Amino acid sequence: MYYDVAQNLFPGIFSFFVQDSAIVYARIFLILFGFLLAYLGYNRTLEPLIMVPMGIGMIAINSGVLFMQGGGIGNIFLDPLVSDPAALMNIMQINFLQPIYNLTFSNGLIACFVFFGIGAMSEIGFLLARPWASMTVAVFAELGSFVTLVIGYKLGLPIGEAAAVGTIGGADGPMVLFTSLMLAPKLFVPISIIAYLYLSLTYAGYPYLIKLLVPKKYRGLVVEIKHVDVPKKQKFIFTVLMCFVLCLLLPVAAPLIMSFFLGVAIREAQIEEYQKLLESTILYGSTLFLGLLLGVLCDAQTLMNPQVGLLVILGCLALLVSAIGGIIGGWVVYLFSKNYNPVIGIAGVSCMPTTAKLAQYAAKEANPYAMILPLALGANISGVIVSAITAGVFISTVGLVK
Amino acid sequence: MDIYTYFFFSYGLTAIIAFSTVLIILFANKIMQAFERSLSK
Repeated sequence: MYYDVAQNLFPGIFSFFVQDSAIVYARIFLILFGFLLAYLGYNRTLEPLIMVPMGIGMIAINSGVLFMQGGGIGNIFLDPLVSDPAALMNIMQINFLQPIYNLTFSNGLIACFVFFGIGAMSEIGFLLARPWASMTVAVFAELGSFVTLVIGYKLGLPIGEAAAVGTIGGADGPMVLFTSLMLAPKLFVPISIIAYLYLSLTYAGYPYLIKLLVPKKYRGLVVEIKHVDVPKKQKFIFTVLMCFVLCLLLPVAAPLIMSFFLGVAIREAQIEEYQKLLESTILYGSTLFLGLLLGVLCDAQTLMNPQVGLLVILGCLALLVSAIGGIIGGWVVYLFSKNYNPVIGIAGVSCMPTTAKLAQYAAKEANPYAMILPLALGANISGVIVSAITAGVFISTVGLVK
Repeated sequence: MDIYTYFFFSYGLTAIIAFSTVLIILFANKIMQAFERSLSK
């Protein structure tokens, strides 16, 4: 009797004794991993905006386990696998994060919200200063997406899932979320989690890669940046035109494209009230819930999917190849124009603005007078545009592979 | 289409669309002027 009372009082603890041992070990690992992520976010080793809520969500979902009616084991956060409308309506009354998950996460709305904010923060003038160079490094920096698509397919993944995991190479979290939702709905939870984890790891790994591929002499190259004073009106019209052309060419990626360019257009039209709303409330609110939901989705049972190991390797490979591609792009532009620092190539990987900052740190470390941030931000914005194009191309043409 | 052909096809298509946006950037000024002329008429 005492056992039953204790079990009802502390289901989180007693569930460890009744679950399958593999699940129990996975839960313990994920709780510890959650602590690690939250701590690394706290001390800024990893991106705190995502990692602190993600780590805490991960701890909570794997410790807050209880015995459900009918004898099953579950939680009252959310269930990502419910799809039947009646069951969904029922579970929304119980699981507190279920409405946010179904109404913003699993339909890609939260990705669009993040893109509103990124657009509102993007100074399109950086791209307009050196458009050919920025776009060239961005195209090279997308190499990982395409290489991983081929490798994933050859390793036995269905083409849609190979394409979805390939988009991790674009290093653009909302884009990965959106593409995996369209092409690999069964795997979009682990793919999104892996994408965001790795995006934070780019902080840690890319500086070493830069040092490996670009000698100090070239890292410290001083680039002459011609100040191009582009009128606001021209930037606004360019933004609207780009939105029109890309939506016309890639309707499947139109929600993301529209979200990004709407943010840019609001910035260029100087609608300050909307700009503040997008840059602060919408972007940070969405990022908070994105991080929390990603953590809560790291339920031991969800991540026990045997494909997760393969996705982890492919995600890592995608980001590595994209970074190498970006730096090759930087060298190509340097060889043609000379007035370019090859390090800027890393910023073609569109993890905005992280990779641009990494490029600037690497250059400044080699030469305190090297200022490449404006060009790196131009490459970053191009990277966002090219990863949206890649997502659209994948979603609309991946069915051609037989 | 086999996977290797698709690699070149999809990467090529992405690059073409990306560089065509650069052309839009370069022509944005002229398009803007034409737009303003049409508005003033």
